[in-house]
Amino acid sequence: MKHTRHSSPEARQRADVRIRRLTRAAALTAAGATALIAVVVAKEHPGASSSAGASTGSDTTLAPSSSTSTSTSTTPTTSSTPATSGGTTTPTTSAPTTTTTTSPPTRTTTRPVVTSGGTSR
Amino acid sequence: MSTLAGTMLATRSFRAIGTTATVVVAGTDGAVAEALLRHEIDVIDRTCSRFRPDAEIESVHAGAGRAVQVSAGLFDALEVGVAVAERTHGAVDPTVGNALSALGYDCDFDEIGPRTPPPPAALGPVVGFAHIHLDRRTRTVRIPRGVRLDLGSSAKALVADRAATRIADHLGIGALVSVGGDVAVAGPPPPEGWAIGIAADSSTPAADVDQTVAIRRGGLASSSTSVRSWSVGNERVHHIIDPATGSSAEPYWTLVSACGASCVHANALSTAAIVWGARALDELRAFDQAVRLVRYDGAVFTLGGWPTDGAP
Repeated sequence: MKHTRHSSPEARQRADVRIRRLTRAAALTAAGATALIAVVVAKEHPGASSSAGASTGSDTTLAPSSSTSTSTSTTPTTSSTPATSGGTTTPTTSAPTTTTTTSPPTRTTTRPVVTSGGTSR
Repeated sequence: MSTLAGTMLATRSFRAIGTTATVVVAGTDGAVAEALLRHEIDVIDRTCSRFRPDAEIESVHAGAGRAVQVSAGLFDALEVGVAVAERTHGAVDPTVGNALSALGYDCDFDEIGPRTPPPPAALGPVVGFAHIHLDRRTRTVRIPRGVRLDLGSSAKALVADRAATRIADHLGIGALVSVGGDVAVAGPPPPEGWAIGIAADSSTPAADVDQTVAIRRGGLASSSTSVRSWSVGNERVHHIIDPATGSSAEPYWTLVSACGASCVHANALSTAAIVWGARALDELRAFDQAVRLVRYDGAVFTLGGWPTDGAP
């Protein structure tokens, strides 16, 4: 059966690369995005899709806390620019890489901003 | 040891595609970020939804047996779905649409109620992703007659990846997007990374999660056999189909969480591990990704550097 076969390492690598390319691709043209942002800023009212409901929102500040990093020496420094702090932003984006692996997560005592689990209603 | 300075985060959540979508951005530009996320969700819903008769993917089903030209958005989602199948040796296969419908998952999950009829006989092995023919040059797709596609798993993760990248690129700030618990981050992270709770149900409040981990790039996704499940007769079924049987995968694992270079990479492994069942630990070792698995009896296994449970 096709679905029980083991893909070759080469095929798996090609699939990895395709996923990397497609997940980084822009689904929105730059002009379209700019126009969309302009509309939002002008109306202070986000555009709604037919499948989406009203939103709830909040602005929070992460309480300072300390945690012990469990990352190993293989954990890369992913940003060469200072992270945002105190509401200011750094107009820099992460550079795309060709690797398909990533560093493992680290434990933290910071309050989670979202929960990952089974997809609930 | 490092100290986390105060970081202002704007959070927006809303209902979409049968679950909850959330965007968190560093700074206060929540409205624009939300609009961009809504747009990405709308694209995937209009093209890929199994539950919308006007979804573009219906044209592929209607034209089964011949090449059908599709939009760039649908083509990309199809290409991701096939790539995920190749990457997981077919454990996560987009040709499971008929199997899901046969189990009663033929409408938005919010509308599924207990099914009184006995469960239908399993449809048997699915046709398989190798029979999906994609031609990027002509942007056409051909599937065998009678096949129905389900891109739900990979498409949801694709939305998270693209939205996070789009938001970070356009606003020039760090962004986290969660679609039903499948998380992607992009741009500069907070000083200690993006903190994400791990729990069986993605609606679990922050105070009640089983574990909290931080990521700085890529994605984190979880798959569960206990949350998106429903009754068919006396049988409990769930939404993750084993392509080899055409029925719900055995619930050997109740929750699998994985990290990856993208949310799609993460989601591919978390879903595949559910399908692989008891042999998942062996299969996962071929991938350089961190994974946490919770077995049916509550035992927790970690691979690839995922931190163990307990106080840091």
